[in-house]
Amino acid sequence: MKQLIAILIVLVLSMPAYAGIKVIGGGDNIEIDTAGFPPNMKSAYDLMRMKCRKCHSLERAIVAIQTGVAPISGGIFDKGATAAYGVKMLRKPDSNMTKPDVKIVVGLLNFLLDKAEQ
Amino acid sequence: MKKIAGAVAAVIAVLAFQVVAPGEAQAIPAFARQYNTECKTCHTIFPERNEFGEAFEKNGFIWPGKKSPKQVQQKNEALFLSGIPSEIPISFMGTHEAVYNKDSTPRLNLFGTSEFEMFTAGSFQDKAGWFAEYNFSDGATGEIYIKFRNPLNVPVFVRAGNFKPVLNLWKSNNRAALEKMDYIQMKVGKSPFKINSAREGVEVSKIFGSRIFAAAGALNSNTDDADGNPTRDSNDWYIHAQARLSGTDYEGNEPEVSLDSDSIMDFLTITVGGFWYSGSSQVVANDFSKAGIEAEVMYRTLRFRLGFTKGNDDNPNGDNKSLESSSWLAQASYLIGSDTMVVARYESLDNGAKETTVLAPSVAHNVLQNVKVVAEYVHKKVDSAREDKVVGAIVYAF
Repeated sequence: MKQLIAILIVLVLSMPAYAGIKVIGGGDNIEIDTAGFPPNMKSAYDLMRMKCRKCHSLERAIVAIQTGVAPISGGIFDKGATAAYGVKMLRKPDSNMTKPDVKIVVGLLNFLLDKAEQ
Repeated sequence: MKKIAGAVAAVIAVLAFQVVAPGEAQAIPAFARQYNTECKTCHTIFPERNEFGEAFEKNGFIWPGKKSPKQVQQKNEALFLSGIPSEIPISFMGTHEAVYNKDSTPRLNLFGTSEFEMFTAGSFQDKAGWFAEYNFSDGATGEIYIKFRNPLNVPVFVRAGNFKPVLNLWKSNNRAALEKMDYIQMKVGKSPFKINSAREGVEVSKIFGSRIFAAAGALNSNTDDADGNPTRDSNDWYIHAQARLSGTDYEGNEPEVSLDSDSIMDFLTITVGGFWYSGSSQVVANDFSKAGIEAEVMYRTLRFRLGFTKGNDDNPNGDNKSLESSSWLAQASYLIGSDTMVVARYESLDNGAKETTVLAPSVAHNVLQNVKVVAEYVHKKVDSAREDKVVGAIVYAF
């Protein structure tokens, strides 16, 4: 029994630390589980999924939301930073992001940051 | 004839392989490895830099902007505390050129130039960055320098070693095309001085606010004899200043953009700069000064570069006659999507003895972010003599 508990503890500890928001899969194929999200956030997630994955996996965004640290720059990723990241993506060549897209995705990121803190 | 056909087939096969090669098999150089990011974070068509790439370079290859306290979490704390990067940051770049020139033999030289270079660059914590390069093809080292950030808590950058001084808005490798700009390579008389030549020296630079960058430095003069011994007791001096009036600033911060209304400033980046240089060369006991003003305007992916330099050499030919020189640059480039760039460059140079005009349109395409194919037509007219050539190349970095 002790062995079983020890194995379970090891398994739990070795799982990705994506607490706060539920995720499905991992690595390049990681997804956010939107079950229980309001309809507007579900559709915002569909948009983010489509736009962000044009250039990179969703893991970057998820790690930033969960840790509060942007994984590449090491910069602080909080509600004060999400709009700047949105503008950065808006201005990237061939990102196909529009200002309405950025507003929706920034709204979702802020929503996810709130959920991650819960 | 069979040999040429075979070589053409080989080149086509190589190009075809590059086109169909899977996207996942990307090889990425030192900074990309260090920061686990893609080439396009800093480059358009490598090695041309985007706005963030310029900020990264100006900050001594230290990622600009605020850092989270959590960032000190490193793979190996002992290495981090020692200041040693956790990975040895080495990159390589290969270039294979083919040249068509109807006035040379052979007219189509399928293996015109092959170069292979090694680079190492990185940072020691956030205290200093370094850069060094070595060209296997000619066995020569290029720039080798270290750049300190806030040394002794003084808020400046100090660079020391063998480096190209910051004079222009664009370093000579900051281009998608193949040929270096003549604008920064013009010589006057027998003086060996070129604006973009690397020399031993010390440079102090600073970012004021976040949108003004200034640098000043002292370099060894071109005064060495054939054995490398200095023959004149003098140094060269220079100052440079530039301002980023709009767009991403020198700290890597994006501009303020309203998400509720549109403005032309949302995608407009304007940079202006200028320099002054005073130096001497021993070859003909020549003292000279150069000055220049430059501007870059970019709207979305359309970019214009304009530059003008003026110079005075008091004795460039050893005949005690001074010469005035000047040069102009106008370049337009357009990035199509994110992988193809068309460039048109025009230059007009007058070194006091002869006038040169250069017209060089080119197209560069990233097959992968680290592999590009480039085709460039170069029309050069020196007084009444003209040269036309087409250069094609495969360039890769990893």
